[in-house]
Amino acid sequence: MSVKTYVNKPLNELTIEETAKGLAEAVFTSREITEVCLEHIERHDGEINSFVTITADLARSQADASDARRASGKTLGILDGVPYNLKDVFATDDSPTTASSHMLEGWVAPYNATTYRNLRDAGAVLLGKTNTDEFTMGTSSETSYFGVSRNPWNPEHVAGGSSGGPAASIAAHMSIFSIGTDTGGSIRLPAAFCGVTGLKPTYGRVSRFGEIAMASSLDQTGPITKTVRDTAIVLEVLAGNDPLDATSSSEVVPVYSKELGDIKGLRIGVPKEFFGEGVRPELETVVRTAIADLEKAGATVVEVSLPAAIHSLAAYYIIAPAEVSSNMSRYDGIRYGYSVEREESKENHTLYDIYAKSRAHGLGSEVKRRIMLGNHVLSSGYYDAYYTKAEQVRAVVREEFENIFKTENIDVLMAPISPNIAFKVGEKINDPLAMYKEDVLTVPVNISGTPGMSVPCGIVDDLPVGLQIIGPRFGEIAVLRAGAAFQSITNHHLQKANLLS
Amino acid sequence: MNELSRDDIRHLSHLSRLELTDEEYARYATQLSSVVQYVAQLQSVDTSSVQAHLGVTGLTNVLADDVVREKGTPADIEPMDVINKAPRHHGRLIEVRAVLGGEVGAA
Repeated sequence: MSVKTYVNKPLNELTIEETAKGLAEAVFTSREITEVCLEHIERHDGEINSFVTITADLARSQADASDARRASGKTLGILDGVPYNLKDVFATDDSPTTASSHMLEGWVAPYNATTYRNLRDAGAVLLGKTNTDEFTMGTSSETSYFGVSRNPWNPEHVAGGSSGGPAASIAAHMSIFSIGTDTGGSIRLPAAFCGVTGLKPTYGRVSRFGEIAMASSLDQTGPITKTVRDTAIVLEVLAGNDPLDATSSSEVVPVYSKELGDIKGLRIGVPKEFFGEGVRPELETVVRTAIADLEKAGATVVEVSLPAAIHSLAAYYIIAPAEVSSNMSRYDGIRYGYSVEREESKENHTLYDIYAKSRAHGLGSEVKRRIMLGNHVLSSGYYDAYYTKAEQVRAVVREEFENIFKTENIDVLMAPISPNIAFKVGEKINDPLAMYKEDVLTVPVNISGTPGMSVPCGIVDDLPVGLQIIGPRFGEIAVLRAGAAFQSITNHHLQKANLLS
Repeated sequence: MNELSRDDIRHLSHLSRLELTDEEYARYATQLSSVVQYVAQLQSVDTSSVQAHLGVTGLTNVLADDVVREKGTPADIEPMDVINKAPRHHGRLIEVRAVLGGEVGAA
């Protein structure tokens, strides 16, 4: 099929807003843009490995159904007919969900995640599942059983993680939008590394039913897109109370896309601790320039202090592994997933062997590290020194975030996403602690339960830098408004990854 | 308490039901020790104002009505669709190895 263009772009490079307009004007059909995306994936994904599963037949049937609805005047809304992908942790009963683990290779869930149902009910077209660190545990997508996702700006560098596949797939224009998950930075960090927009909403804003759990008091689902305006559109569809997830909030869902006014009067707090030791100077300059651009456009900037927040990472590496050790106990070789019981040799295993061997063969190193770390910090004798202390620090951090927006009268906080740009594949894989420290500036947002977004704000050494915008709990409007304003006065989000140029 | 030995890892691998090799005991001892040393910085944070850890999610208990869900509603799952995923099952029962009398792995 000849490549069609719209607004001077190949169809796969369109935003959600542009796709919806092109579909409404009948310039192209959902089937046509779906075929363009599938062809682009087929031709280029070998270079970056962003997809784990491609659901071509499903995508074609969903696209045809969308076109049929449109022909009979029954379009479902702005996402109807728009091709997207899901991080490989959302249960769907029509394609495999593996969490990029040998443990779940080939597993098809018996039910659908609420996020998938919401997107399917909105008419969006599923192209496939994208790569993640195994069970979302990682910062580089290198712990995936199916291989690392590479950065479309430079394939020698990582795409980031754990939502490395989703972020790379958007930077390389293999889908119009993607859905990721963020427990300690897993949407924002890869979005920053790949030069795309990614939002972790407030804890509880989006249902996690059917999302494979990592650390349940921290996990949250959110969009990865090409623009902030698109993020607002997707969040509207994802957000809201779900009777199937008791931790989902019944807070009213605003029409985010109608709230993106200008930034006159916007007050930005800049936490000095987020620019401290370890942040690369060139990256700090790019981020401070971005904040100055907003100041010139009418925002007010004040320096603020969050002294406890920098200890969030230490609290995280107690709380998250503790919850991991519990959540991962369901992979026991008895009920579903990989089991030595499925192996050819009929050895006379004991029940203990079934557990210990199935988990040893089915799970990778990072997952094993976190399970054992979790069991260590929860052990009697250590529990108070580690787990109780970490929960108390979390309470202090949470209060610090709650107070800062009131006492300083600010709407959002702005900071870098990470101390460094995307590192090289293999550079940190043998030093887990060095890898963990990449999340030092994103984890405070998970520990405080607040919303945080990454928007592209410049380039260092030919790789993208992300500006982090943080709001108060359920303050997504302020975050999106600040981000949309930034993208209306700058062009960083329009820069194209080298893979395509 | 900031150093984990190979024996500690052996004990944790047993608690975690993970069969490890000798090489893994040594590697994880080094890696987990460095993480444990890093998280020790928490002791420097003043948490005297915080009462024992309370829920930090801001959510309260949610109770559902005790009614049978209609067929076809979300999360309505056929029992056999779940049981068929198990490596060994007998009709509607998942089969496991003997629970009592089996060996109790190295502790």
